[in-house]
Amino acid sequence: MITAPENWPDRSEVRRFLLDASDAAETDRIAQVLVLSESFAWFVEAVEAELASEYVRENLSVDDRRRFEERLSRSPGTREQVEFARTLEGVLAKRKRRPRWPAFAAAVAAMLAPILFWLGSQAPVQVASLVVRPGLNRGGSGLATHSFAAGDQSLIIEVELSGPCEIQSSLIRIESVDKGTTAWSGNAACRSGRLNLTVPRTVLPSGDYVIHGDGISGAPFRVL
Amino acid sequence: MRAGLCRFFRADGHHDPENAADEVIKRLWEAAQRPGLITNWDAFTVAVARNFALEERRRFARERRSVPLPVSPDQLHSDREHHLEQCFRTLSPDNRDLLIEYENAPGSSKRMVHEEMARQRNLSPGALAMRIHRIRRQLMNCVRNRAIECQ
Repeated sequence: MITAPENWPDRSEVRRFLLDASDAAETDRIAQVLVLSESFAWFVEAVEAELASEYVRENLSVDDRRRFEERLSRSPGTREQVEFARTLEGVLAKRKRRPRWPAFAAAVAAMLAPILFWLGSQAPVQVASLVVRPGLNRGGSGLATHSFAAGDQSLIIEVELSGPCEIQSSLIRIESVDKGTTAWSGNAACRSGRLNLTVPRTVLPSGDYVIHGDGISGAPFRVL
Repeated sequence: MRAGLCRFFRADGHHDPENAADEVIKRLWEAAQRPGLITNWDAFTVAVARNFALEERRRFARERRSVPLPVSPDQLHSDREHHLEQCFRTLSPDNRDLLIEYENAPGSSKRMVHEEMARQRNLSPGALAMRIHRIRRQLMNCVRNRAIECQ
C-alpha cells in the first residue's frame, strides 16, 4: 500500500480526487501540492496505477468502478495505465504457469537472507543477514554464523532458491549437528523463489545446524 | 508554473493537459490586468485551474466526446504482451524479481505481503510502492517505445 509523507494529502484523499469524489477544499489542496511538487505528481500517478490494477483485477467497489470508468472515458493517461495493468497481468499469469529453469530445479541452491528481529513491542526492527548455500558459504569464508541479540524472540529465515517455486509450501527441517536431532520442523511458504520460515529462538541454542527440505540439499549455519 | 499546471491537469485526467495549462495561464494574465483583483496568487491560480477543470468536464459530458474503454483487439494485446516480455529483460534481476513478487501478492493478504517485503528491504511500505512504480514506469516507457518502433 502507498503512503504519503506527512505534509502531503494522504493516499485516501488522492484516491478520492482521482475518482472525482473529493470536495472543493480537498481538490484545492491537492491542486496546490501538484502545482508545487513533482514528487507528489509521482505519488498521484502511483495511486492511479494502483487503481488501474484494482480495476483490471475487478477489486473495486461498484461505486468506485463506475467513477473510475468515468475517468477512463475522458483520460488517455488513465487508459494507458489500464492497458498496461492488463498486459502486465497477462504476462505475470503466463510466468506463473511456466517454470523458468526446469533443468536447474533439482540443483537448488539456498540462501539465508535478511533476518528480522523484534525487541519488544516498542523496539525498532533489527535486521541481520546471513547468506549461505548448501554445503558452503557465499563469501567462502567459513560457516555462516548468527548471534542473537538480547530480546530477540524469533528468527525469520529467508531461503532464496535459484529457481521459481515448484510448490507453494515446503516442509522444512532444521537439524542440530551437535545433538543429531531435529531442532525444528515446519512449513515454509514459497513466494517468487523464496522460502520463508520463522523459528523461535528457544529451539536454536548455540550450536551448528543444517536446513533440509524440498529442493534444499543441506544449508549449514551456526548460532553463537 | 506551467509545468505545475500540466501536472494538475494530467492528474485530473484532462485529455490535453498542455493546452489546459496554457488556457489557465491566459486567464491569469487577463486577471492580472485588473489591479487589485488578485491578492493571493497561489490560491487564485489553484481556483482558476480547478474551475477550468470543472468547465472542461461539463463540456466533455455535454459533447459526449467519450474515448472508448480499452477493450483491445486481440492482436494489439498480444503485441503488447510480446513487447512487455522483451522489456522485462531490460530490467535488472533484482527489479524484475521485486516487481513479480509485489504484483503476485494474493489479493487477500496483499497488504501484509507488501509490508513484509518492505520490512525485509529496510524500506517503508510507501517507499517500496514508489520503487515499484518507478519500475512499472520504466516498463511502460519501454513498451511504448517498442510499439512505436514496430509501427
